Amino acid sequence: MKISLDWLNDYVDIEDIKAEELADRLTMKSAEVEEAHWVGAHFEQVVTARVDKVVPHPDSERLKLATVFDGKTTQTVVCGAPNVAEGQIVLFAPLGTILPGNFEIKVAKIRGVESCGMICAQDELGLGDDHDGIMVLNDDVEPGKKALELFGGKDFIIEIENKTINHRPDLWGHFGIAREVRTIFEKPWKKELKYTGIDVDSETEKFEIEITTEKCLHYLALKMENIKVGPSPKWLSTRLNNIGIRSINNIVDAANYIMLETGHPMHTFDRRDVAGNKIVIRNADENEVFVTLDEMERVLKSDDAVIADENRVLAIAGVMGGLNSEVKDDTKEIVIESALFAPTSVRRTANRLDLRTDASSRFEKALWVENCYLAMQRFVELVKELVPQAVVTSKLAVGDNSENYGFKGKIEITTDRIRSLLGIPEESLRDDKIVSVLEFLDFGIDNKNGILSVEVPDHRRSKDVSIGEDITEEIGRIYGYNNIEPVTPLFGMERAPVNVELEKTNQLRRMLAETFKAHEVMNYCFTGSGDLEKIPYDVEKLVETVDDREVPYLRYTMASLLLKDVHENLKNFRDFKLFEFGKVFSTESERARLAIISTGEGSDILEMKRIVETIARDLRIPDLRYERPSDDFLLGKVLLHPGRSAIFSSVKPKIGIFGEIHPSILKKFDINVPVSYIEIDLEELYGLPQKNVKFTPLFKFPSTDFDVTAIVPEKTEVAKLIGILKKAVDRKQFVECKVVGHFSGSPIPEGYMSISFRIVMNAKDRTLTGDEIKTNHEKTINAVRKAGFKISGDK
Amino acid sequence: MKEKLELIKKDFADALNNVKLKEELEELRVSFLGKKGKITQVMKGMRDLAPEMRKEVGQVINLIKDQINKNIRDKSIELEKKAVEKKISNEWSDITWPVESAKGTIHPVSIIRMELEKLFISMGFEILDGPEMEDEYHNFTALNIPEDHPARDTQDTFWLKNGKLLRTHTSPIEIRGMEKRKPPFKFVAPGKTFRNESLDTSHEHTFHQIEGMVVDRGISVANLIFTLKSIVSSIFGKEVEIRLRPSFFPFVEPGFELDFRCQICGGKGCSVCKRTGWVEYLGCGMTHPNVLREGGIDPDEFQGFAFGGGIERLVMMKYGIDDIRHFHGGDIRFLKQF
Repeated sequence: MKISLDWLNDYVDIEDIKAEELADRLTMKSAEVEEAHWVGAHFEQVVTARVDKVVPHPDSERLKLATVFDGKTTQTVVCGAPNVAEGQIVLFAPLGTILPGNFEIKVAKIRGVESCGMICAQDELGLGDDHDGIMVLNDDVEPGKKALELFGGKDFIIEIENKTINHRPDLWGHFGIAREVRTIFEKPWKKELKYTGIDVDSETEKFEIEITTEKCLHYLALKMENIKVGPSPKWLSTRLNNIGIRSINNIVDAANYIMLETGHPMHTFDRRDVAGNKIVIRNADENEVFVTLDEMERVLKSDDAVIADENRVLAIAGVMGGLNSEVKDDTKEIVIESALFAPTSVRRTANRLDLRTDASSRFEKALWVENCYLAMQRFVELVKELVPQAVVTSKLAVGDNSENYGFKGKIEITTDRIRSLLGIPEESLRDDKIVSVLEFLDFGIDNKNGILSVEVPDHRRSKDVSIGEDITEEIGRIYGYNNIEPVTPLFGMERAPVNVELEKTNQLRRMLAETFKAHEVMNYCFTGSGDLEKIPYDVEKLVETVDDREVPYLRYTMASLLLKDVHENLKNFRDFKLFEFGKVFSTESERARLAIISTGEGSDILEMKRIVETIARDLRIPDLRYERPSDDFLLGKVLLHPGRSAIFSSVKPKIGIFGEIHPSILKKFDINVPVSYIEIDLEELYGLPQKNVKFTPLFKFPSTDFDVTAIVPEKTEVAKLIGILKKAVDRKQFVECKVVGHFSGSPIPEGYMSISFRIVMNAKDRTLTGDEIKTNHEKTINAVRKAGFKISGDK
Repeated sequence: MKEKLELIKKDFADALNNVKLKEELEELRVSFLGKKGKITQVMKGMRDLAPEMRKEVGQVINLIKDQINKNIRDKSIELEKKAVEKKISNEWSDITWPVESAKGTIHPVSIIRMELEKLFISMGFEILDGPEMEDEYHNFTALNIPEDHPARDTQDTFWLKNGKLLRTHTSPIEIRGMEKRKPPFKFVAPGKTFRNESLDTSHEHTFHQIEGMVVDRGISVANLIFTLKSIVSSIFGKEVEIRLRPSFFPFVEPGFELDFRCQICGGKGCSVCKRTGWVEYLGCGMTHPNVLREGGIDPDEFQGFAFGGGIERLVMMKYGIDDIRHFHGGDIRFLKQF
């Protein structure tokens, strides 16, 4: 919202305050000023001038050379306007003038001729949109007059960030801002606006108000006659123009002016278009069609409130009036509305119709009943000023429905409590200062030795002030938060509890990046029906869709978006691993997951198992067990290659899955290289106990080992063979059994493979003898044969 | 005999000069000092000498033996040195050969998030977590956000068919934190949040916030300013000027917006700070008594402050990232830069 300082100066004398400082103080104490600039400063430089001579430019058919007299000097300018002619009185910007848009007039050589100044068009002066030619004034205007005598002086415009006054209905007009300025700078009112009553000049009609909807809280109507619609005077159009409102005619401008002054939207109807004497505020009929002022056809819902006469709808309450009853050039009699509509209702209607107006955005903020009266009075005063013969010809018709609206009581708070909340010592913030700030802001105060009973003014009761903390805020902001001396909070020495899960997550994050060279990604939790087709799962649409968003589902597996990431990254990279910590969702719950996806070099299933084992080692959880997926745990059966995948467990079953992504899934994601994947349920993983680390003494005597190579059918699990070997040797002397090699292909018969094991043994109290080793070796060979396998070299 | 010894000495010196390899050195030693070596031969001849001569010649022989041993040792060191020099002179590595870091990368949002966590832990804060699928009570009602507040509209919130929603801020963790704690306490809660917005370079529907809360007896605005000032200074690693502006959030009263001096332009005004010299960073304020009550805390006995801000904004400032959409892009070309 734009605020004019020239306008503010009507209510509070601010001539001694620097504009920039005022803007800055408002930001720090009331509402954020997001932008501030001077307008009309060029009117002090631009002057009226007479065109004495016009000759063609020697080097151009379109351009002309004009000699102008600005009251003191004569200048030659190059002018491209088609309408420039001798004898005209024009607006002339001499050298050094800075026009809107920070455009400085300098000496310019145009096709070889020096031009010293500029004859201005309407748009160049910020006076309108016209750029068809230069502005020509009446020829009775004398040359050498400053433009500000014709168009008003310069003004400083500040733009307030609307979202910082959403909670302050009183700051949506100049008068409310003036109250803040007066409080901040401790100034008296120059002109205070107060409702004193509206005199009826001659009553010609009586109006009746009927409110049948809870969406209207208060409604005032008044009739005026002898209206003459015409252009607004210069002061009015300039004020509106300076804050970006286009002047339309005196009556429309008056309504806008009062809204910008009091913050209260006004509406006027042409009396001829209002049937009868009863104004009804009711809910619209479902699907009732209505044409608004902007000539758009609107289909209403029974949720919308409308203003109607006995026949038809005249306006959408608080949003926009109707084309059927607007003020026209020949309007003589008007019915004025000053009303209060329920904030939520106005917001919903405006949103639904996508019709957010200056009026609707103010009603949304919760205006106050009393402001209806003040705005009506000010409107009548202004119309009478603009149209001196205008008269009030009805009594103020009132409809009230505001019994339960706004805060009604008084607030009790002590000055000590205020200081305690703000952390300001008494010597810096005395009771009388507190009282004075509140009085400046129009609060009523009854002070009994620091126990305050505070009466909230009308303009603050409707929304934002109802408790002691609200009062504290008023003191704090005017005192200045940046004047408060920072104080360290006093705290005990207890150690803050540690978030173990978070520490584990951060630990794994580092480990995956450092040990496995993986890159952490973050994906959205949304997923569309396209993904559901690729990775089928029985899942409900969880997100309420407002429009036809493509992502009505929340992700149920981490895989779909990671596979997309792989697909995209394959355009630039071949070997990579990605990982993500994230949540998956179901109707009942959300689960924290870790997923790792890998392609290219080092991406086989054993590498996945290595990652899983490293995670286990990193978190020191009990040993893991592996089995082939037998059910849908983490979608393992759908996602992964049935022969190349596993579920892993520990002391609790089912922690996670890993393996190669199923080739048919890869195909759906348009990936034609193998991809491996791990998904771990973090609640299960983090829920595992920690293994106790216990030192095992080192062997004093050297260990001895021997190798056994078995020829076994393909798909024989190596764990089975290790089990056989382990069982065969002397249990007390067994240290470990390692796989040292495997091979398939000639000379190994087809369908078979050879696997070499190294068995390490140690007697702990001595070096094992050659005979002992030999015996154990033979035992293992026999055991392998007994199990139905061959030993390398067997026939 | 003396002449013989002199001759041997000379022979040795000549032979030593001709030695090129370490193995030859051993041969040389054997040929002079070995069982059949020249010196040994001379020593065998000493039996024939007179006793006084024997003593004299013995001393000379010992001197020569010592000398030979020393010369051989020196020569050996010299040869070894030469061998190493020769080897080194042929060895060369191209240090311009390109290699890649052996590390993967942590997401920039995680990097900053972990830094923030570390900072708050060092200040004695507890780090909390909360659900992303939140209920209306914790996300809105308990935070004093009225029934008809625009934030509850579907235009802003992802409502779910199960009656829940995706949390629109990390503030519900204030309520969850209070429910399980007795004052005094202080905690922060970083996490993912969601708003029903369309994407552009500075708007995301999924982003991260960090929420913080401090509750004790007599906690004041002055305490809030102190705490946030030291947090902001820690984030930037130097003293940074901050300011509080009045602002409104339903769950605090009074409420503020915290700005810090733009670190890009130093306050002169640039595009990052929209020429104001200040960067809007945190929403904060004194916890509203209704919110304390919802958390089971008596507002007449305890006071508290809370703050919340976006993490992406910090990440973008720190690394000069111009488009918020990169964070959820999953592109390694982006990720590997951090």
